Amino acid sequence: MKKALAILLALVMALGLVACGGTASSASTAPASSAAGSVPAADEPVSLTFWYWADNTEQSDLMQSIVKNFNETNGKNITVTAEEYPWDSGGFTDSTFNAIMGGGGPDLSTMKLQAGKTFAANELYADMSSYIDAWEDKSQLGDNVWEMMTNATGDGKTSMLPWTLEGLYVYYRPSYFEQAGIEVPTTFDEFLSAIEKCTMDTDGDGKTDVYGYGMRGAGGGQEHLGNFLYPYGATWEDLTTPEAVEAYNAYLDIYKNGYTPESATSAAYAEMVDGFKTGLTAMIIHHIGSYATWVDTFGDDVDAFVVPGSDKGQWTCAGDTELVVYEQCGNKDAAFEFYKYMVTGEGGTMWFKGTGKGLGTDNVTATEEFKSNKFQAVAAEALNYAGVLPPTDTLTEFINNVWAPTNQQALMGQISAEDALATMNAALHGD
Amino acid sequence: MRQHTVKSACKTFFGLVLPITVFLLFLLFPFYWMFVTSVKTNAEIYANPLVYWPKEFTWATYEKLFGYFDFLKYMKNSLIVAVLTMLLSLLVSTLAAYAFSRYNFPGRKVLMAMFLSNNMFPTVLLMIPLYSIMRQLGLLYTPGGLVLAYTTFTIPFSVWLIQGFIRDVPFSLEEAALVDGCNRVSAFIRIFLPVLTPCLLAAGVYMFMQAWNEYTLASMFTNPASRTIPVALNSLIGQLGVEWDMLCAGGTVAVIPVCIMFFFAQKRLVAGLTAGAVKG
Repeated sequence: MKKALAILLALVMALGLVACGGTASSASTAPASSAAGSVPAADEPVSLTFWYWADNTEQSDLMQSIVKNFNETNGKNITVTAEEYPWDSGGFTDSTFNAIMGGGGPDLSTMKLQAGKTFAANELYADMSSYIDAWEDKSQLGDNVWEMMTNATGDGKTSMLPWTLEGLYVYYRPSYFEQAGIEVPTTFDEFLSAIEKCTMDTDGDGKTDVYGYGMRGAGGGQEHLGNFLYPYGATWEDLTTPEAVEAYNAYLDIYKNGYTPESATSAAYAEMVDGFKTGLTAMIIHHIGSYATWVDTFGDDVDAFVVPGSDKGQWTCAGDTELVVYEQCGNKDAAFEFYKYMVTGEGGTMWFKGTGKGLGTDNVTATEEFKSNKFQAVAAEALNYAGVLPPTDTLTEFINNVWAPTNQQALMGQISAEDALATMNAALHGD
Repeated sequence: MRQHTVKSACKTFFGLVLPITVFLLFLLFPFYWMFVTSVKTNAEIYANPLVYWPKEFTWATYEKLFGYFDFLKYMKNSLIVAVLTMLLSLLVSTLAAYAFSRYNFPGRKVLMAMFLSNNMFPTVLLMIPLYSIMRQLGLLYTPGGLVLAYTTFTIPFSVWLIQGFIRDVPFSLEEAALVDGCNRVSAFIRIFLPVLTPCLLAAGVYMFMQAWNEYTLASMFTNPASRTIPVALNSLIGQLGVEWDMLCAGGTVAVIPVCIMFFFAQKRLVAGLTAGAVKG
């Protein structure tokens, strides 16, 4: 009897496996990974798998149409399969990393600079330096951009290829400025003063119903801290200096004085956006990627200016998206063809027209969409002061696990500015 | 007498009705808000002050959800995965639990401990090995891969759950069946399984819900063709914004199958979860 039961169990499990496999293969329409399937021969068909994230359903469609256009027009028999994966608050990079480490994953994907070192340390990126050096359009991008890419991996190779860069700037509501009786600030002190004056009780019930600044105190808010550090003479290199403490206190005072909604302690992108969209806040810091939303929502009642600096400094964070080719990609020539199409080719132009994002290359600046968009001029100006957080080994850890809880504690007065900065500095620089 | 009745009514109201009403409001408000958001216009979703009851209902979001977004495809994928996970896990864990309870074989305790220790590892640790295994087996991006991945945590839990129940079923029940002419297999199927029904139902609902709602493994082991509901809904949360209307519409629809399941299984589910609790 024991034997019978054991055989039955084994049979059931085997049947289960077969059944699962059967169901599965019929449902699967996309290749598990084409990395090993690419054939590096010029006249043979080449298949590439490209993973990307989209910020909304319109971007999903746009990316699919861009890739479809590439497949139809590249003339080199290259077929790219674009597979969308959720951004998942940055979990996209983890999923991609796990997939490649598990022997699968794509040939190329979108990526963030902050994930550069993790992938590079595991030798997952392909070194594309020679392709870039030989690229005729390389000079359309500034040296600082290429430097940013090289620094991100820390191995001196150009593995991360720039795709879109957006300097952060301030979106504001002109009607609120008019109500508060102020002009667009040109110095950092004026900026702080504008935040204070735009905090208003518009219906006279004794409660604040418009806040001057939509602070992003949680996820992603570290990018905005840089806007405060540099005008006080501080930098990301050392967050424990007196200048950094002074800058951070100016930042904390916005919350403590009630110039930003109380929810700022837990506000990430979505909360910041919702606050601005509902008219609760007069100013937020963001990049060109959201301009269409504001124009749709407010019409003419939205404008922008570069976050002002002082004679001590000016800095803004660049929101970035790169394309990376993985070492497992069997045909890097084909992958680079796709990259060129996505930047200075038709793909780059289509992406810019659909999202307003690009690298300011000739194909982009020549479009009517660029010339007629007032936000593009501000975005281009912001790029002059743009940089990224130092790509230390512990940057991801700082961003994902240290920034938000530490900043929250400081905002709520549970720890001092000095202690919070010391914690952040240790996490960022791995001390 | 009248005073006594009023006093009793007050007691019932403040001691029972009011706390339950407050509790239900607290419990059901998120569902209400999710539904209401899904039928609001975009202007009302972002209106300040908040709009608690929309002036104008729009079903356009649902049209987009089922048309453009093809939500039915994701529902079908989730249903296949959840049902297969439930069936496979129930089958394996019932037999395993029966063996662990009724047979005394070498290594029994070690195996049981191993089942328990499996739950101590965070899922994220299993990601890369499981991905690699699925790839080798050719199950990657297929419902089968996800089903197998889910059984790694549903089976151990269910074995313990069902085993606890089986232990409370007297052995004399099977002995009587054997005396009356049943063999082991027919005694198991004809006598034992009907007694186990409430417990299996409880375990089945647990497995179904685990598979229906799971995100971490699904995000790794599916691609656009085999994507399940949690991953599909997560793709509506972008780096630059959240499509609240679609997300809420999807969330509302995703809750319905689970609610229906609970509606039908509720009575037996409670019996299954409490079975054995009062036996001496």
